[in-house]
Amino acid sequence: MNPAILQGQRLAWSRLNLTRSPVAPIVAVSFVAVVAGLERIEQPLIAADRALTGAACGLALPLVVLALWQRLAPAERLDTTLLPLSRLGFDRRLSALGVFTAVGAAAAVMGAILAATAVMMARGAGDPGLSADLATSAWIGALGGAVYASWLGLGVCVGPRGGGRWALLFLDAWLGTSSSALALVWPRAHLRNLLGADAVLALPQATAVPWLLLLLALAILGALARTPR
Amino acid sequence: MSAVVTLQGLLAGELVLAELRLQPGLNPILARPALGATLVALLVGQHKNRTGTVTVAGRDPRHSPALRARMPALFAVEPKLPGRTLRDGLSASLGGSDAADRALAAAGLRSWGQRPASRLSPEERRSVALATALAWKDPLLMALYDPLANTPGIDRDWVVGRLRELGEAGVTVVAATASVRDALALGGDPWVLAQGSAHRVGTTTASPAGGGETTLMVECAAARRLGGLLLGHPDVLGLGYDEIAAPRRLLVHARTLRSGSLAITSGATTLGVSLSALRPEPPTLARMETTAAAAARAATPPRPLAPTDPSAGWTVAKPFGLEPPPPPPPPPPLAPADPTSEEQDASDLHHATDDGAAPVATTERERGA
Repeated sequence: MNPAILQGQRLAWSRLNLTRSPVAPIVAVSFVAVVAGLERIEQPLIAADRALTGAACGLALPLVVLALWQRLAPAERLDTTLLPLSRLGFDRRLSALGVFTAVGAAAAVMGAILAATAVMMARGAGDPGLSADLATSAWIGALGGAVYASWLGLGVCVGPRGGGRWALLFLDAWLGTSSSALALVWPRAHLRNLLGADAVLALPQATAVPWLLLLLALAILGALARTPR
Repeated sequence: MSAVVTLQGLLAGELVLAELRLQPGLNPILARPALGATLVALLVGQHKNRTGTVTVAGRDPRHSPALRARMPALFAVEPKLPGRTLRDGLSASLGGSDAADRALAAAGLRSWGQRPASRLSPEERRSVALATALAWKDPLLMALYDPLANTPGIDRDWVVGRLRELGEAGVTVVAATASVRDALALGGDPWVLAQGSAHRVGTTTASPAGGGETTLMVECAAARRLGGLLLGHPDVLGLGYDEIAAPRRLLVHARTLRSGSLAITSGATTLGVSLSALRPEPPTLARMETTAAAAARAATPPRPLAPTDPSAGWTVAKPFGLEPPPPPPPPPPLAPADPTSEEQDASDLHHATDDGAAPVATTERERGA
């Protein structure tokens, strides 16, 4: 692997170091578990759907990914975060790619855990459809985590201190819940479609994964374009 | 390999610079803190928002990772070091643990090797970055911000010696500082950034008024009494004294170095006190900037405002191809007046107005008599 990409991954893992302070993931998982349990009490038939589209992938997942970026690049732009590598002569773009892969992997794992927690608490251990739903929801959560990691990572490259991440998070929450054309470019909309909620412009569910992958690729390319060599 | 550094038409934050060309060797630069910090970041390709060009050995460091690998730097604020210990963090920069150990030992920081990298204070991170920069293998350009200040644990004289060695070896060393004293310690005439230009200024001749005004520092037990005595001296322009922070120190601003020294020594003799120290203080940064700005203006040739040929006089433009109007004829000279004959004057006046009209009364006697 290219040494700059490898160094970017190492830098990201050293800064993330979730074992040192796992407060954010623990709080997020606990929150999803409680909400999913309450949904099961209230409306058991649709509790899993509501927990997934609401607490898990609608609220906890974007905030956990934001927390990951805050730990990696606190109040600074991505090229500033890469200073320890760029001053040694590593290509900043390749190092940024390494950072994105590391954060994307961590966010994917968190997304899978949050989705699985929501399904388990919403369905219960005795539900016959639990295992199938667990597997499906886990990969959807993982994909959602990876897409949010790249999306908010693009925001980290915007603004003097990477404040674009907050703007993208807010716009995604605001515009991504609708089903109009305004929601096309936001990950939330296609994630909801994939989880069985309202589809953007009545697009079929099969288009959700290609759209999410397209948004992931565009976000990474945009972030790399904003990062100088 | 030597590198010429060229900066042209720069506008980056507060830094405005028309042109600056730095040759290999030690280049002290006097600039305000914000300007110096921005300059260092620009030179090593770490500043994003800029217009203008920065080239090192003909290439832009912002877009050349290979160039950046040969340009160690010391920033105003150093980021946290990677790695578990300091030694681990430096190993990546210097190519191995042995090199890291040697760099720390050379800078007098041998005992810091096993310290956690994340627990260093901002000043200690600067010390480590300076030690790293000075131990860099085959550097092309070295850009340092305030290398003689805020670097605990490192001997200042050692840094000066090392920088001079690197300069003599052909490395382009840029040391930006806001301290005139530090610039003097590095040696030579520093560059001074002022009002968009960079100019080399001799610290011994920095005197905007050209009158040789200077500031002297005096240390004696009766500094306050001496100050009181010097206040009325014609060659003393001003005094500075802080009874709390430095009760034995007096700053005397004098017309010239000689007259100030004489005033101080004669005052000490009058009071019967001995002087512990008497030395000129280096000029302030503001004075250096003023001198540099004046030198920059003097170096710019003035634009001519008048025709160079004095016999040409003023020329009148010809509107629409017409000839200019001829100059008016000079008025006829007046007849010289005879002050002894008033009647002759009156007769002359009457003759002058004798065109058939009634004579004009021109004297009071005629009017009211």
